[in-house]
Amino acid sequence: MSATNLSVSPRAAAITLGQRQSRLLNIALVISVVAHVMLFGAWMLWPTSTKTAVNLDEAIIKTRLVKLGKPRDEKLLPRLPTSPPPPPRPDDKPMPTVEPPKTPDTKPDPKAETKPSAADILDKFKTDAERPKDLSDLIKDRLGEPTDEGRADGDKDGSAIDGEVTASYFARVQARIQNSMEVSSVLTDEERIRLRAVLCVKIAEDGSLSDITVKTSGSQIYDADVRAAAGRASPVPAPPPPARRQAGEGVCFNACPKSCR
Amino acid sequence: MVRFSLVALFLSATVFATTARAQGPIVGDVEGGEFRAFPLAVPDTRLAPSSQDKKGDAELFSQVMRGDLDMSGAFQLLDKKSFIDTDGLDGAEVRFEDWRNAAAQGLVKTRLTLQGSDYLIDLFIYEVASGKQLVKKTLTMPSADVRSAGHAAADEVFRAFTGEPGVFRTRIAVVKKVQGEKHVFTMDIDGDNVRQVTKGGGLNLLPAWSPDGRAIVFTSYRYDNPDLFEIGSSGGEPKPLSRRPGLNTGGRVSPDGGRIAVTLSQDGNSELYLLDRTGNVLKRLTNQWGIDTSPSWSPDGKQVAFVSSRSGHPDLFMLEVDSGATKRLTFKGTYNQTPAFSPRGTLIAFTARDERNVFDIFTLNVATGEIKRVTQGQGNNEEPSFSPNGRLLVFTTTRNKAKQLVISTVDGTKQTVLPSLGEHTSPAWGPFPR
Repeated sequence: MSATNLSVSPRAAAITLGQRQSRLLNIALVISVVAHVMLFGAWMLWPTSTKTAVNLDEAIIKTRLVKLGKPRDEKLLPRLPTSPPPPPRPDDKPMPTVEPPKTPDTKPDPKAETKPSAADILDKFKTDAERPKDLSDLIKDRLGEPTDEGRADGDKDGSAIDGEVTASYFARVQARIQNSMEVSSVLTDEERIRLRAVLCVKIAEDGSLSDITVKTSGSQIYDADVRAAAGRASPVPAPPPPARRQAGEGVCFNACPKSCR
Repeated sequence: MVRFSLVALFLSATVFATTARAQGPIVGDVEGGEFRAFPLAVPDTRLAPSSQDKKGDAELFSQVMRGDLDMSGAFQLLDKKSFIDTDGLDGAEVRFEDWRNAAAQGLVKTRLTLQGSDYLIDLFIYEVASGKQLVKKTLTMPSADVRSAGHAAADEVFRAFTGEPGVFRTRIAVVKKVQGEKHVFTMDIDGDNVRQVTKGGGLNLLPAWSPDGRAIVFTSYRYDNPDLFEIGSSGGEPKPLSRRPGLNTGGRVSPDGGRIAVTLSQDGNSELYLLDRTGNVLKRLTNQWGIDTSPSWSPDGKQVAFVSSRSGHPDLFMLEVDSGATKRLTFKGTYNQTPAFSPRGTLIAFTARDERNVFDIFTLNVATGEIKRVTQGQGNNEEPSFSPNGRLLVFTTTRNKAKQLVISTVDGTKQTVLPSLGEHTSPAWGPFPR
């Protein structure tokens, strides 16, 4: 039996060998196809799956053109600007800044350096005009909570920051009117130096100007220029609480074609 | 009665207190501001009922007057479409609210009436904001010269608003090329009414007015040498002033009319001399190795600005006539020439070549030395001359290729090219008419 089992006819052996080879070939073929498919897939997907080496949307050479810092030769004749510089916005006028109150008996407080200036307070008020409580908070930041006795380093007549805020505010109003000022070119050179009018206005809580009066400069033409400038400047920034009373009662400005000094 | 007085007193006190409260404290200074032309409404000239057939003259009169006022740079003439001119001419007939709504600050109303060979020109000038009548007068001008009437009216308007005399009836002397020769002409400041002054002599150059406007000093080659002559401003026979060997050029009559500053090269080098009105040498003003030329008198007659190459290239210098003391005025640029003193004595206008090799007009502040540019990027601009009120300049330009004249404000913000044919050089603005 075993001999029978062991003895395989040559034909049968050939068939068995052929089947094995065929199966191995199939396996190899499948492996080859899968490998090729994977390679092809990898090749297809490779460019989109990672960042491209060169982004065509981006400039190959990045440059920043800068004007060389060589100053214009003093001996050259003056040049006119090709276009007039934009007029400064009224609120861009540099405002007087105030130092934080000094406390000589204590060490300098690093927090004091971050306390807001009068200009900061006005800016905050301007942006949060509908919430004037913020202004009080900011003033508190500067001065601390009010006390019955008053602060040892305070002003006996009241809060110095109120005065600073008021002064800064009126400086802004003055800048707004000045930027609206157009002086008639019919004024003579002598008038341009000599004339001085006094412009008085009342400023409502919304910043609108009313009761615009001009104490005459002696030139009706310049008086009209001043009155027109106030009209163009209205509304000015709304007055913050410390300046409201004064603004409502009325304030005045000297007005001069060139300089009031 | 006592009760009434008390009530009146109380009311007065209340009004005073209210006014005082409204005044308030002075919290700042509004200084300076952009100078802008004065908005002026100049509606069309009307005709009296008896002169309705003179519409053409009325239009020409309006056109000349408006052109002058616009050229002055002091006024911004409102577009006629921006207003309706249906109100009256005089006082209460004027509806100032209408003119305020049209953004006018000044108002000029005129009416022509033909009377014989003259026009009567009724002139009404108002300050609109206050409704104040600044001028109400009647000018009488020959009906054959409507343009002069327009210039005269413009002078009145200018004076009413500025308090200064207008220059619209002055004339400008200029050299024009005519058939291969160059001659001195005079013209109105709008380039019209051109009259030839010199005839013959080939080249006639560098005209300069006498202070009374009756004579023009100029250089002519009629004897094949640049000699100095004087001629009546309306023409006539030229009178020789200096026929010395070499250059006799650039003569300028002093403000008092008694002396002439001139460039002579009789001693070999170009130097400045002072002549009397008959041409005799009074004084030699400069004695330097460089070329000294182009004198211009200060309005007080004590100083002369001139050009000298003693610094190595043409620069402006100032000379005290009595002492001979000289100082250099320009230190910028390498080619500064043709100085012209302002009648106010504060500025000297001159031509300078900048780093692009273009000639432009500049002004020099005599007190501070500050130089300001008047022209830029509009061809070559040369040979400035001040108007007699010091508010305007005339100079030549090549901005439209041919050399034309420009009337410009001193700061250059308003420049008007005069429409003219041919090449114009060496303009000289004449004095106020007498």
